Amino acid sequence: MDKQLEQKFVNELECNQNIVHKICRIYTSNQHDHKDLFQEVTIQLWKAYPKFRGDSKFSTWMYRIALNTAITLYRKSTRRIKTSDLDAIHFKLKDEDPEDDEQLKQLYKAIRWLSDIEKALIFLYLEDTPYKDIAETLGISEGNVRVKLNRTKNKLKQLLNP
Amino acid sequence: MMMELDGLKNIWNKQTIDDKEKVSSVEIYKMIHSKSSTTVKWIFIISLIELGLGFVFGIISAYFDGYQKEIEHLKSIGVYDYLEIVSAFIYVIVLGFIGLFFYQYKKISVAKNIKKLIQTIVNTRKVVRCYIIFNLATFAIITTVVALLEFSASFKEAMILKGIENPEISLKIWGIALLLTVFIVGIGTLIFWFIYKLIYIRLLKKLRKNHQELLELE
Repeated sequence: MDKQLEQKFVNELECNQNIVHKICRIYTSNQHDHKDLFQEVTIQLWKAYPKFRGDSKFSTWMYRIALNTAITLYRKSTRRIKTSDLDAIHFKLKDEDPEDDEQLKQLYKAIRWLSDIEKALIFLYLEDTPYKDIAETLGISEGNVRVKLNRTKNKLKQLLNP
Repeated sequence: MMMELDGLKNIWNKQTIDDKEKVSSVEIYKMIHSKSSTTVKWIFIISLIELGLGFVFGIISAYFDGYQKEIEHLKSIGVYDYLEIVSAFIYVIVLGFIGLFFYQYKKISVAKNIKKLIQTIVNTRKVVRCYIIFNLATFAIITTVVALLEFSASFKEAMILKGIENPEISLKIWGIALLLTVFIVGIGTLIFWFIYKLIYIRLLKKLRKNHQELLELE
């Protein structure tokens, strides 16, 4: 693949890497696995990039590839991460509010208890993805997205407020 | 304090990249040139080994001392020609399986939706699973038939040596020989199948679980 395409891809991923980091945070429990999954997502994005036609935004396209990698292709089981350490979750908030920081850590901790598919649903909901796009990413109908999302939101609420 | 999801959504969207995690363009360059190690890659490697194993065994066995003797023996009891026809037939089917496997494998694309991607991977595995079942079944049938024919030839030979002309094998002896052969071949086949299942249970567990969850949503 030519250098120009490579440069364009690297720039786009560098600008949008926050999306991949968020996905890595919910599907892994430590920095080593986070890096490992980030690398695998990067490879898969690069492999798929020549066929990316720009019909959708780069970020929307990234959601699908990154989630597919985490759910389907990533070798390590994402079910071992329930006992994760909250201090191992690294992120930065724009306003650096300690209360928000604590709440976000609790949110990550709760999300990690969900199944792989539920994690994807909640992630796309938090990212304000339209139902139509969630349905297309998962390969289920919009109606089923609504039903499953409501159930998952209730489950998450219970995990957050035991 | 009661945590509401809508409020958390606002906090979620305030996230920026932490310096500890930030990946530079140089690191991205390195990553895209590194090797991938995914479940699909492992499935592909193991499947290729399985598909090739039949050929390898065929080649290796031809070099064993006993191989020629066995061929002569099979010729003497009139089975060899039939085995040749069956073998040719089996190779055609095996080539069909290999073609189907590559066709399915080519369809795996990370740009598909999650459900379709899992289905394609599962279908690719199904081809190899059918191939294994086909191999085990042909192995079991051929071994049983050849073993019974060998038994019949040896039994008659032994009777003639004892001075009995035109010996006949009673239904009872046939029954015992059949039961014993089926039992031994059955055990061998089951052990092989069990080892095969052990390899795949771990590899496909995560995929199957996620696939099942998506199917239950429909």
